[in-house]
Amino acid sequence: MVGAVAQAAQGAAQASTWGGLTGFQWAIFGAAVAFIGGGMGSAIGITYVSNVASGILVEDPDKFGSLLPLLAIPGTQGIYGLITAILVTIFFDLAKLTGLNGLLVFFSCLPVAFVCLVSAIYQGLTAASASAMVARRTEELGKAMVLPALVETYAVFSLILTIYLFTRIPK
Amino acid sequence: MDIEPDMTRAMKTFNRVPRYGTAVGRIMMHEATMLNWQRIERLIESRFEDCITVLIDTEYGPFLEGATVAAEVEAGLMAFLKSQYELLDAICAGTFVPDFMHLKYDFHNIKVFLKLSRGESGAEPMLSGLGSLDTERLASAVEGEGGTLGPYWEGLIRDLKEESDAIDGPGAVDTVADRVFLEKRLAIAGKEKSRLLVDFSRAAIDVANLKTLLRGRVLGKPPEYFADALAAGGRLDRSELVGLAGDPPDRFSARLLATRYGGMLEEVLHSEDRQVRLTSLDRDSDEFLLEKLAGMRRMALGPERIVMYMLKRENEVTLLRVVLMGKLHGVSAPVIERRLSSTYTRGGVQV
Amino acid sequence: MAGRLPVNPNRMELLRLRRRLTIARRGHKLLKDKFDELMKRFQKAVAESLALREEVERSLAEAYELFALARSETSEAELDEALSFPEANAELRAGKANVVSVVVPELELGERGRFDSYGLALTPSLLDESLAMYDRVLPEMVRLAASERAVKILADEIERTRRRVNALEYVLIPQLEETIRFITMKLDEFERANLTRLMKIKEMVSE
Repeated sequence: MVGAVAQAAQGAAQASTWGGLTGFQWAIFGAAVAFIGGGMGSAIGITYVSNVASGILVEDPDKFGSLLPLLAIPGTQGIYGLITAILVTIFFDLAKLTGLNGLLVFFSCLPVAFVCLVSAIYQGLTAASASAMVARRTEELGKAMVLPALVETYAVFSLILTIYLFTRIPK
Repeated sequence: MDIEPDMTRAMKTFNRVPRYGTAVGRIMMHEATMLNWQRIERLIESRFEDCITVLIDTEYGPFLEGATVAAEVEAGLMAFLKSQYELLDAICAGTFVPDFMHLKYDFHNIKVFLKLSRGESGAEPMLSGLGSLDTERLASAVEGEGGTLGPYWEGLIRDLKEESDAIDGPGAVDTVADRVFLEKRLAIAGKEKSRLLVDFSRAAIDVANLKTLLRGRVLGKPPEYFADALAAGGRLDRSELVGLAGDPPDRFSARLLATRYGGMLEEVLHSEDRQVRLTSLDRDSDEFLLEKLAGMRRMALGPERIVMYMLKRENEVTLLRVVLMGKLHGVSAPVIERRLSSTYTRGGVQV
Repeated sequence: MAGRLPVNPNRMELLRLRRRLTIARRGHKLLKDKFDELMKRFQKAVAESLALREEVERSLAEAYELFALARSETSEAELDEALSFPEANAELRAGKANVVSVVVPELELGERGRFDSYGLALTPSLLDESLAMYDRVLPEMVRLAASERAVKILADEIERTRRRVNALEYVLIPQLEETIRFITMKLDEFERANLTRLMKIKEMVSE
């Protein structure tokens, strides 16, 4: 019984498809999900900050320079998604990827996909709130940046985790 | 009031920022220009002329420059508030926020016309320039000519008229209109499903009801007055409050102290010092509402922030009026400060 | 010194003047009594009215300060609207009172409506207290008005009475006394002249 399961698992590991998708297809799916998550999150997050920033700039156009970092910071999650997607193609020999390994690549992409999606949106909200500090005093930019930067750390962690998981998957 | 009520909650969260983000951004810049506590303290310590000099560097400068008498101060402060409402109308056009904020002043104007239409003797009272409704159309709507203000206002005016006509005495219009104002404001907040604004409006109803109850008892108002004056929708049940009005004093205060507002009423009911008893209700209820406002900062990017800003500005204008008029009338600094004590200024003005 | 009256020095006149003097003396005494009484009343009235004025002024100042605070807590338009149609109206009843036969006014405040005909929910609480204070001061102000008017009338009356007393004391009575003395002297002189003449005639007759 145990032997049979082990044999079946062994067989599945060697099989070129898993759940009807090839390893190549799973890996591409994972890369796409990673970027969809990061990219969507960043787009929404940046929209939030830029909405508020545009209001501030209506009142005082000189604040543009100091608001720029706050505007840009939710964009990093999109970059992480892109990095993940590209790393999938660089790390793995996609043509030879077994179905199970392809599935593992897909799972490894999920931390970036979800964490970046959510963190970018909330980072956008945080950055928008923090821009009130810049609105009051331009010199407060340093402090204002700390708040969204704290959110950023979790996006970075997700990227680190994803890359680490990539290294553990047999090529 | 033109807002779609059936927007789903989930969509709202995502819609909030695109809808209000720019307005919130502009408000952030204006929040930065509010007076801080140090400046208020300096005003309290200074003579009137120095107060004006201090204020020249602020947003109030253009409005108060050269003001020397009470009328000029009042006109300047009103012009400033008007400019703030114009800003609000410009940045929040098409949302419920202007309706929510203008409501008080529209009701003020309605009260004026209703009183005039009742034909009670007296001088013609002042109209407020901060209402959203055209005063001429409002006057004709009160006269009963329909078709100019739309069904919402016309129905409201008709109801107010009927209800106040049923009550004797010159106070009827105020009694009814103040209550309906509080209830309508809660309705706007409820329609918008803004939990914080609903909370605030309900708290405002409670505070107003408590003020009516306490002051009405001191002034010896008849029991039916409270049934007309107390508003529904607060956290304290209206019918219970109406029932409380006829209680003997010790039972009355015991039951009030047992409510959630007991802490606020402790001083009013039990203080030995007359000055404290007189001022603490207004001060504590203002403080309480300002604390409610402070809760709105959590909703950093929605309409609540804009409402908070407007209410704080109004509060700031009131505070300046207390200080400046106090100076003009020779009220001493400690008396002014007592009225403005602690959170009224510290919490209320600093953003 | 008061001059004497231009009268004929005869016995008829003397009798008449004596009678006038008695009346003047009695009048003087009566007026003097009235003056003293008025003075007493006046001093009391002045003290009362001063105390009342002090009290009214203190209450007004306090009410004014409260009202100034109350009005600064709302906009002028709001306060104006709240107080624009008052229910309270005052009815003033005016009468007369007699103090030592001097007519002084008596004012009394009649029926009054309630002053609290405004909404309680949105107006400042201080308004109640300051208006209640004005409400309490109003009858006192009316009393003060009556009392100050009475003081003024009493003062005028005292002035007039004092002039009369003085006129009697320093002019009329001395004049009468002077004239009586003059007539008496004149009559004495006549008497003596008559006596001398008689003696002279007697001497001439006896020669």
